[in-house]
Amino acid sequence: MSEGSNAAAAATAVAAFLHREARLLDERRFEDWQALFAPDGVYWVPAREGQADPLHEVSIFYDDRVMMAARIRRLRHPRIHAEIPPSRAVRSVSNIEVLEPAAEGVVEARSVLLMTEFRGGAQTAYHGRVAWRLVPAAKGDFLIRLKRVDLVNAEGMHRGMTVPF
Amino acid sequence: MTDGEIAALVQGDRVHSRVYTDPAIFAREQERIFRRVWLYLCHESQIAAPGDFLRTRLAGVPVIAVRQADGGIKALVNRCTHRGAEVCQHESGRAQRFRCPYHGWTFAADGRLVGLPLRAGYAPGFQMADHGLAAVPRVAAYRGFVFASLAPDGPGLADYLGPMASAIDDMVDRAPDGAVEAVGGLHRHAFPGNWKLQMENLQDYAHPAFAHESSNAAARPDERERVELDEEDIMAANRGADIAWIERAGVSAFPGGHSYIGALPLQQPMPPEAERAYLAALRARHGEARANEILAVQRHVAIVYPTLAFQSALQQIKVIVPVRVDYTEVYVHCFRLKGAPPEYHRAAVTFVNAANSPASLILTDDLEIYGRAQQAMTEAPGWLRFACGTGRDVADNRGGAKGPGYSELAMRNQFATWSEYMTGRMPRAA
Repeated sequence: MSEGSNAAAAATAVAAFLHREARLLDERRFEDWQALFAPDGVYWVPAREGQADPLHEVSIFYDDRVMMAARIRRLRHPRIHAEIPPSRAVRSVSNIEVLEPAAEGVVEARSVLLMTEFRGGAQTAYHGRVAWRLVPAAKGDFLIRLKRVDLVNAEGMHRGMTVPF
Repeated sequence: MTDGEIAALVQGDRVHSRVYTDPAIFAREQERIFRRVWLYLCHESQIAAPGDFLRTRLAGVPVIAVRQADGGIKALVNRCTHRGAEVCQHESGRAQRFRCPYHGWTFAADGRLVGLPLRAGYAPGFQMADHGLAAVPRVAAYRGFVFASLAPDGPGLADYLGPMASAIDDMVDRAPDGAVEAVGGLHRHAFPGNWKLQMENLQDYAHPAFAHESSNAAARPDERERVELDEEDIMAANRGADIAWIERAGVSAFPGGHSYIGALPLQQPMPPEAERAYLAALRARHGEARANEILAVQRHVAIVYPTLAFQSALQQIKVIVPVRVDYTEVYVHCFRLKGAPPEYHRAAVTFVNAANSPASLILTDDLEIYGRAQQAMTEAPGWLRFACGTGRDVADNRGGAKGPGYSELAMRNQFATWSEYMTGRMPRAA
């Protein structure tokens, strides 16, 4: 295949992966969602625009797989008060771009996320840009090494957040 | 509303829900509490150099905290004396002067009016000196933490803090260089409820077993390799804190509405090398005996009434901002201990995320419950009880009262103080 069609195939594969990732969250299949992350994978939602450092400055989410698992166990608990009744959300993924990889064996991608959540009788919209670092896995699939969600209102005033974006 | 009507809403351990829901009471709180007390303004490290400024609000009043050429700090009211626009729109920065965006009136960093466009259009008697930005009458600092009061008179900051200066000492003393700086970032969250719901919760050891049941059950901190305390450690500590433990942790309450509760059974785990370096630095500054005393202070949350909370051992403060009777904003600042190894700062950041990120596994249940309480009290007004622990208080060695950790002593104390302010009395000296 030509270089162009390789790139097109890669973009299609990435898009399919990102759409599935969003759908797993929409369907509250949190355990399946977590399985998309590499063992060293991180889910990060910075607390301000341009934040470079998650270790010396606070973040809204900064979950490794162990913390993701705790978050998910809590989401499955019958008395998680902030999720009674359970939230519903729809995530729309768009503006997908596959970038030149920074390193061998890594796929860098960008997308735009619009999530509308209905929880506790109130509807909330979250909008942000997502930066992906993916590593190729079996059968043309991927694992997530980093999913970084930069909310457009990162520095805004937030209500409690219960599910990942 | 008369003082008598207000006083009737707080009857010892019985409080009427109207104090959380009535907009007229909220307005009166702004006048009688928030415009009279000392409120947290900022930390000195946020505006270190002359001209450094940040915007904030005090009792709803927009202010600019500005570092002056002489090193002092002023809090200027961010309202142009010409036609009322905010003169400063930037959250923070450094400026030699503030120029109003509307007609260009320009003010120096000390608030003086120094630039007046169309000067020739004013009568000869017009005095620029009479048109500087209003300044908040009192600003004072204690060990880097800056407070301001909209009241021109009243107790000084030291008298106001009273025994709660120890909450600031508890953080600053832990810094080997004897100072902290606000460099760990800021969390912001809000809830659809009255500010007092948050202040009660911060001194409440009876709620975690129920409000945080889902979190406590989810915790498996042993699976982790990271060294910092995080959500799972807090949740597991909540789960492990049985009634005997909670009783021992204790709650201490003081005149002026202040209080603190004893620490959760949490030990900040540190890499041994970092801990050795930290202890060596702290002992070099204070000597071993004093260093041990500093580290032996065990408090979970300390409240400076009405709306400031310290988690000193974990380097965070929480600033509660009542916006409307049923809407409250919360700002959580993370601090760095100067002179401590970087691992200590990373641990503080992790803990602040765990306890106070809007996505915290713990905070989210509290925020949900405040909203439900507000709604139910609005729809079904009536009396509330804060009776747990009544009759079990003993004298505290700092001049207050101490009760078992599950006691609602701190909340009774908050309401006793609330009633004093709201009926026009100043609380007993702290």
